[in-house]
Amino acid sequence: MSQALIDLVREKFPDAVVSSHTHRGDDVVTVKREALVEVMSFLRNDPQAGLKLLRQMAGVDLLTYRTENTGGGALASIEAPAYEVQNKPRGEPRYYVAYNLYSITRKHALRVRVELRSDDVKLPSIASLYKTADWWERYLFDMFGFQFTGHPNLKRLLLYPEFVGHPLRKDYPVRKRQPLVPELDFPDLVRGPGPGPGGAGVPMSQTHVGRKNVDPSTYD
Amino acid sequence: MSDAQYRLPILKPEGNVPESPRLGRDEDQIPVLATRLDEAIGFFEKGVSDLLGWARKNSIFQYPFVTACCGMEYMSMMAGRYDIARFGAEFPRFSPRQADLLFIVGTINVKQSPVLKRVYEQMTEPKWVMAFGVCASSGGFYDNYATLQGADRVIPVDLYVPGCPPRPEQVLDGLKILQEKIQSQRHRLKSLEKAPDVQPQTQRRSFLGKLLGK
Amino acid sequence: MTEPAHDQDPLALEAEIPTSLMTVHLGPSHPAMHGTVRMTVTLDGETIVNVDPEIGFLHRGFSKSSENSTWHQVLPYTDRLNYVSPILNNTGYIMGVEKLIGLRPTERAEYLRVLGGEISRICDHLTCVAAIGLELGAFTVFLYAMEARELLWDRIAELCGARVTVSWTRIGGVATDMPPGWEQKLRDCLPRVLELTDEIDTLLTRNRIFVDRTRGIGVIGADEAIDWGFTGPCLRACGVNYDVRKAHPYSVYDRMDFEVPLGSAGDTYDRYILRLLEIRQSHRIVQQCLSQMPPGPIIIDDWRYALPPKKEVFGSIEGVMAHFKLIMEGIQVPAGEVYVYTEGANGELGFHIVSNGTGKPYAIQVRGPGLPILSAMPRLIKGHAVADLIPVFDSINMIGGEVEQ
Repeated sequence: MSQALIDLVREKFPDAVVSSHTHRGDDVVTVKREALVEVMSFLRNDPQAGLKLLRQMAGVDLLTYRTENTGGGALASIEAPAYEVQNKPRGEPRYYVAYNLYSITRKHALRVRVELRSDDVKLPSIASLYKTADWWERYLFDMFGFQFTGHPNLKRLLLYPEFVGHPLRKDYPVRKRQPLVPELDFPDLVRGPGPGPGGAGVPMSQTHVGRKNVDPSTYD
Repeated sequence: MSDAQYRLPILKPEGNVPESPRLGRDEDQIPVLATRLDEAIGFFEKGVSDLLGWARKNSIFQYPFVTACCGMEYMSMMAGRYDIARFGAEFPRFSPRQADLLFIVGTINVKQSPVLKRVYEQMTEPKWVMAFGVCASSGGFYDNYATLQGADRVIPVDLYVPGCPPRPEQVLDGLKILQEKIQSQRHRLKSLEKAPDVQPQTQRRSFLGKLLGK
Repeated sequence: MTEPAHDQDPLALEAEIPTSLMTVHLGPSHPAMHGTVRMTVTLDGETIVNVDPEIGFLHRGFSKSSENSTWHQVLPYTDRLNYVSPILNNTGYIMGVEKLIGLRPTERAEYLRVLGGEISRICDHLTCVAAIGLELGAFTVFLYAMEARELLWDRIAELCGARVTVSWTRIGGVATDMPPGWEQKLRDCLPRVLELTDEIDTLLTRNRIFVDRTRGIGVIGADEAIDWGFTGPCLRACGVNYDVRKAHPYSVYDRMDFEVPLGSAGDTYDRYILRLLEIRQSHRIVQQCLSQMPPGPIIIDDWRYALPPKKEVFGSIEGVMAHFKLIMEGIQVPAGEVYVYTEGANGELGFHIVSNGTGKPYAIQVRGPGLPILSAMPRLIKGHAVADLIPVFDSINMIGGEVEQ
């Protein structure tokens, strides 16, 4: 949209900016984690920038970015087996958090990214700057496990406290449920009882053709 | 053989009464003398059962456990065009103690499942459960870490209405089927039966226990 | 010894009665909580001291499920985000994918998307007003709004094939075109919808009880609202003129002539009135779409992204091959990251989409307009009576699907 915002950030914080680019009309600038609060505070309060609306904070886990297989259509429901995911070489940085900012008066937007390594997922909280960041940071903590230091109340937002793990990470199996109430299991109604795939007592996850490589610790 | 370890407390069409010949036995063991006790009940008992059945089916107090998109079709069903009031079931009682029919409308996820179970347990007998929509019936297309794959994993369900969301006419059709089911159950003036046990029986039964029919 | 009379004793009225705060759960299964929010309300008598909304009871794993589906298989998941106005969600998501590819749909498809989107917006506002009426005791308002919604849903069912969850847009266009005679049927039913809206207006807008219950309740100022992340009718009720359709016109909104109603007080009453006014503006847009709609194809002819027509699939080798590749491998969207924002019925609906160049999305996260507004509930309701919680919560129009993905 406008290179002006990126230039402004580069001018004020030359050593905090790691990289920047524009893609399909979106301006993105990646800053270092230590300078995050300063940069965000500047972007919010400076009259030229005036990015007062924090639209969203998104998190991305780049673990399988280069290697995720494409299986379209009928094959799309097969997920990469967990052991393969765990043994893939981890590219660093593994995560990034994207802050989508907008200015209503100036009608310009900017995306600020912060990259995080897989072993070091702490970053400063901006809940003191933007009141809406409170819940977005709780959401990212819930889904990815990012620890926002300085957050007044960092607890899970969408999942329950008994839940172990962070589901939107790429190494969390998609079907791994953690039931709160003991659930009844069903014998396979389609194939009926008996040996072979299907039959009573066989978890549903093992009954689908082609799903033999699903992590057996997956519930159901 | 191996399905004996899982006893689903499914509500049978003839009612979940202790004298019902099927309850307390394995599905594949048919007793030698198939005495159908409910054929033997008397004329007056049958009349009372029919009358109570008629009364109960035509005055259903619903507990709408509305969570998601099916709620839109639920609202349509309550409104003027697809009127549920003509079946006598329009009155949502928002207290489980006062309700007969638990409408599970929308997706039940794992966080909501203890709430659902609690509400079901707080309902007083007689009670029925209708799973409205595929998410309540079987989890829908949300086969992931967050969604309960059907409300019948935690509570017994009487009627499943598939659809995403089902048209109100479909739900009303389901309601009519449920009404037939209610009518055909055995109703008593004074009922001593206990509610079906919703705990999954995971202990193995002993051979002697099976002989004695426990 | 004479005691002073009760109303003259300076100490009588201020006598400290030791009380303690009471905590009440307006639990997740509650008629007015739209099914999915638990509000832990701490009360001092009738006054709310603190409210702590707890969400997550409708979290259905949209992001994770969409990472395991192709680009088109995500479409039904998006329907169920804001399930009251599904075409708006479909449009938002598909526009994001098209932005990543760098592709524009056909012109007729643009008009159809706007048309369907505005009808969906009318349905959403009708549902919100119906809920406000119902939960304040005005059952007639609910019935009128439902009738109006049914009329519109009949048209949507004829156009898209389903009443509620339509999955109607496709990459490069829309799935189905207007059936013959549909335009006339729509023109015939819209006056009745407006008539019902006017009825609702008559019943509520100058109703003493309604005004007393909603005026001055849940007030928030403009700057604070922006800080909390408000967008849409809740922000416009504070007087801030931010509507994505006017600020950054997308699709064919730049050719439409409509106004953006603004409130001034930022209270519940303004949020309600705005919705009625926006129904009328959406109606204007629908009329303009119908008159401006060009004939033409409803989906682009590029077989890398859109399925070829069946005649080609069954008749030519190229058609069969293109169809096969699209179904088996999915649409290959170039790698990149984009944030696309459209004006949903409750505010700015955003999708943050990341692609790694394959047939499945790499990451999709939704910016549901209800999430920031719901997080501001404690700010809006503190100090009011517990009976005011319901009108405020209804006027926010939090839709569980989009807040909790």
